[in-house]
Amino acid sequence: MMIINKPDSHFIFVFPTDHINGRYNYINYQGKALTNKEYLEHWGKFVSFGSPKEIDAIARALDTYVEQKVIPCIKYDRSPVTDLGLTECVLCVYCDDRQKNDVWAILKEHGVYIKAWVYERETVEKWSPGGMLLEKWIASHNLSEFQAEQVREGARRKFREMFKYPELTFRGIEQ
Amino acid sequence: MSIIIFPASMGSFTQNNKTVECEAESVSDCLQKLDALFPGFKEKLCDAQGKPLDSFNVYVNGENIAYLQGIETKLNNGDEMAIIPAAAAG
Repeated sequence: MMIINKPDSHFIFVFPTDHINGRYNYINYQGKALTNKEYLEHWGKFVSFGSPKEIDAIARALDTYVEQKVIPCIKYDRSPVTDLGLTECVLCVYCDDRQKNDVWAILKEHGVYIKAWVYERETVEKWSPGGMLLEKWIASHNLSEFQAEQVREGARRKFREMFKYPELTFRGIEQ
Repeated sequence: MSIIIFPASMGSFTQNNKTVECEAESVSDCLQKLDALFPGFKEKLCDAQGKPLDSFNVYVNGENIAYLQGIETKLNNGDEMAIIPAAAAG
């Protein structure tokens, strides 16, 4: 059991124990860590929906697959993100697109009923300046134009730094 | 016949239906038929050209139609189409 539930975080994570102990990088394909370029090309997630109780139950049922490294990682909402207009919690099950058919077969077996695959590059785009989610987040926080521009510049800088060297191993996105 | 699946967050669009069966040849045709079933559906979901707004993602058998043929993506018997708020994909 390696569910990381920190009360001060909106998200609850499921990682393999070896990842927590620093002995394993779950962002890999067939054992090889992804580079920044490969991350943007191949890494993504299946998104699913449900009440906090339903989502938590699915995550707990999938924990064993994460521990066995069949599913790389899971992230789910503690409560619905109402700021973004959602009324349900979202469950994200991450993997490389080259293994997504195997991962989907497991999710389906455990009652996940919506099949929706999202590349991380789409998420990066949505949280970049001008992106739908960043702009919606800015609008929902009543920021001044100066503050909004600072937020945009922060996002721009963060993603530029993260993906500056395509051939380096991807190091993760701060949540 | 295709099956159209919605999360509860789309309930205000679909009179709280989470699945609907639809006989349609393409995504575009399906959206038109959903609009007949749920009046105002297309107006809330699509732009003037009938394309889904950025705030929604449409999937056919798990693939975002943006990577297929957009709203011209064909639907075959037994296909599953899902429509979700794009915010969920963040």
